[in-house]
Amino acid sequence: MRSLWTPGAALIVLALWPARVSAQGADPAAAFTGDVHASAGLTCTACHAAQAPGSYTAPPRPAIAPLCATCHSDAAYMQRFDPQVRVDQFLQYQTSAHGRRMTAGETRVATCTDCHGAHGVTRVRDARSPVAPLNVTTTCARCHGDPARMEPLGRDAAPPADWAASVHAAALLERGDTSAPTCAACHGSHGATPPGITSVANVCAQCHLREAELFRASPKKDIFDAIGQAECLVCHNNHRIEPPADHWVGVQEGAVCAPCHDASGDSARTIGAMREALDRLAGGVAAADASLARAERAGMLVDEGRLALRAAREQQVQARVLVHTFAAEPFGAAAADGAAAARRALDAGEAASRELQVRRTGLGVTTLLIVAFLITLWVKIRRLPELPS
Amino acid sequence: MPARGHGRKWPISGLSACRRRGAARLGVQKFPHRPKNSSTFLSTDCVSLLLHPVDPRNSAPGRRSVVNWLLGLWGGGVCGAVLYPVARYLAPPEVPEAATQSVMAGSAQSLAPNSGRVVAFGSRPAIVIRTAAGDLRAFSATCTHLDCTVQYRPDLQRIWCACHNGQYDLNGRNVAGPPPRPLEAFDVNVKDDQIALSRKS
Amino acid sequence: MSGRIRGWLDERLALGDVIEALRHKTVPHHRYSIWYYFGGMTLFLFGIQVGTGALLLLYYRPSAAEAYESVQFIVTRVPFGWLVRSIHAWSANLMVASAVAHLFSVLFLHAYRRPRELTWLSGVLLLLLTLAFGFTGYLLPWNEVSFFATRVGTDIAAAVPLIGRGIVRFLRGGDDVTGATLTRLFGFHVAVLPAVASGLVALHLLLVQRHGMSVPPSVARRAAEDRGAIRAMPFIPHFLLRDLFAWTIVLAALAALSTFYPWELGTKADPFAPAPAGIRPEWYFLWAFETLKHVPPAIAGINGELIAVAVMAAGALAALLLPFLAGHTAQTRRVVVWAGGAALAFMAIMTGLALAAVAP
Repeated sequence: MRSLWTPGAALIVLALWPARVSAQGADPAAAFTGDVHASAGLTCTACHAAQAPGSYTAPPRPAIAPLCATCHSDAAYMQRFDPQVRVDQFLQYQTSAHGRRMTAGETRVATCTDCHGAHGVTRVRDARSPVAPLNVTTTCARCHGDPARMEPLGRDAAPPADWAASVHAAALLERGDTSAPTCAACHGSHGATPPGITSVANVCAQCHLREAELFRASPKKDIFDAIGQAECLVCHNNHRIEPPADHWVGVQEGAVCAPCHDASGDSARTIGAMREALDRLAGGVAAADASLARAERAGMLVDEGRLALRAAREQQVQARVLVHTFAAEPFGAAAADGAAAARRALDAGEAASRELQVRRTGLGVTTLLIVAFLITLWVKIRRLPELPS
Repeated sequence: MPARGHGRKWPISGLSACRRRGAARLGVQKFPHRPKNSSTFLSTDCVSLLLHPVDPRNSAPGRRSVVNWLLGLWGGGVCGAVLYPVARYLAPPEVPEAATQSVMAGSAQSLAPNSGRVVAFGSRPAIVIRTAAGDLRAFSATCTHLDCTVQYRPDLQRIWCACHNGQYDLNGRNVAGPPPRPLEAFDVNVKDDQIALSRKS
Repeated sequence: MSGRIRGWLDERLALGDVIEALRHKTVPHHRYSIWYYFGGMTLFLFGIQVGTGALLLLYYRPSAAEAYESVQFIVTRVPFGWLVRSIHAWSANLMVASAVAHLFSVLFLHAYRRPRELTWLSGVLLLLLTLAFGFTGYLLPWNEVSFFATRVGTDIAAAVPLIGRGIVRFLRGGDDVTGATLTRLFGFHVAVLPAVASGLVALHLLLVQRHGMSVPPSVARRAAEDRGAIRAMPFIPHFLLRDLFAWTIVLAALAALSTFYPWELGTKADPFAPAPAGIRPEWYFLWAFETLKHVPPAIAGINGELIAVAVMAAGALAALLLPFLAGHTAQTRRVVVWAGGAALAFMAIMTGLALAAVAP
């Protein structure tokens, strides 16, 4: 019996090797000293109950989630450590794509320890945690960005890289804006499931409420539902969400309206008018900014111009939001207001430059007077009475 | 510089010559009265070194007075060019003081309860609110998320940012959506029905 | 009519003697005469400073909360406020340059010799006051550059042993540069320094009138060899009209500088922000700033900065006491010329190094 134990144990260890490497660090015992469970007073036996000390091994992968749930789904138990903590993680997990596949026997999907770690678990809000907002996308990308892992499961490995090129990634990683969505924000964390086509807009609407409300009130909603298109994704993509540009509006090649609209018909006219208004507004804002910058560089102060430009920029944002009504008004009014504000800013910049010219003209006149005075003075000096020898 | 003596040597300068001759210090001795109609310097003591008759070449009154007249003309112009800006500077400008510590925010009466108004405070916007209970509050109107200008929502009784649905309560605290920080609060006072906002000291 | 007014005034003010004396005043005319104009130029620029300074005082507010905004107000809202402010700033720089030129010309032409020792003394003190005016005025717009330049500048005083910290606290009105520093330096700039400067200027001018213009030894010697007299021009109207000529040119230059190179407002000082890179004082302090940067941390066990400050102080003291130390013989005068030339070259090189360091 004993002679079979060792190779048997070795086989088990080898079989579970990938899981071990992915969830554990170099030395589990050392890592556990920093674990939140350790500070709660738990020891190795809390999870490795049925094993002898010194020969702990990882539980089989399908058993990990139920093992964690023995405590984390027990409300009375968890209340001792954190009265407000949620206890529905396991329930959510079972609804998730990971959970369902694991139940069906596929062990290559994520379970608790793959994301939270096994021995150095820290609270989610701890900045070192693999599921802290700034780290969560890296954690998901370990599997979902790895073609070697995704291909056998029939999934695409592009989303994490796509997300990393998006405005949301820039907001989160460059500006540190933790309100920007990570994988978990749209897909859920424990209940991680891709949102369905009809519900993805609900996800976007959590933050982009105005655009969602306008879209739902517009004719597009019913049309898109009828043809089975996900609302926001059609124009904005789901992972690689790039900064929207004015030239997306149009019927020419490369515009987002082009797949459905062509150059004929009323809609083309409306689209054309909106695009023209957007371009005009952008041009006005750029011209005003240049004029104000010129004046500032020359030493003039143009506070009111900057205020007007700020108003113009906000109207530009409003106009771009109102594109989601897919109608000429009230978009037109916002664009017109913006253009008027940009005009005011431009005028302020031009007035400052004109004032500069006035100053230079004043200087010119003064200098001429001074030069005339100097010439006359020179003549006078030359004609002063001289001394005899 | 003109007039390098025109080949003539001028006598030794003033006081050193006087001292050498043992003469009195300048200013202490009374000088004899100058003869009239002379444009030269006359004196009877050591300073007579400086005596020089009028150079007949330059005595033509016509020429001299033209030069003097022109000098007066241009000199007056230069003085005017200096005094005009000074005079304009001294007159108080339209807005008598810098509006960055405090600013007027319109009529108090026309601000109804449960409504708000956005005004300019320096180069940034500010929002004045009259709560449903009737008291006035004022905050910076720049959203702390991405700098959009906020507005008052009477239905929510909150300050709202249209860009990403951020919300602040009536104390300026960020209570919903992405804004990471509260809005800066301003002091509000009313004088003669005019609302005055000022930065908190 | 004007004769009667003149007569009325003369009876009461009795300025007849003074005016007569001025009428007889002459100025030596030789190859170095051009340097005689720098004293009057400095006085003219000082007058400009007093005038524009008084105008600025009508709108400026000396508190940390309002200083920057009040200067911004002057420059944007007050008619010709931009002109008054820029002239004040440019004229300050020109005045320092003129005062330095005046000092070095007096040094190289040996006009500090007996009996003009007090004139020299008051002049050196006036130069130090001019630098103090520049230092105190620089902080008043309360922008980022001036805030940090003041902090760095006052830090140098801490190098003085024993009383260094006391000096720093006196200058700053506290341990760090704050609104208290602003108010204090403002008080120095508009009240204390002008009062002292007015007294010294009056003394300096009085002494110059008493002693007349000094003739450089080489000119006097050549005149003696030629057995001729030193040419002299009457103060009124010859010298005065030439003075007026120079002053008018400088006035035109100030107007042009203010129009084409207006003094910038900068960003408001934030005491809690880190110092931006490349903070340096105004150009007339750059040589000292650069010297302190190159001094090794310790020389023979003593703090390097302390030694540098001590050397500079010794130099200033030597400059102050120059007439008592040298000038009596041709030998000592040669030493003075070489020492002055070396000092000038050193300051010029250090200033050049400092400017080159920032340029790239």
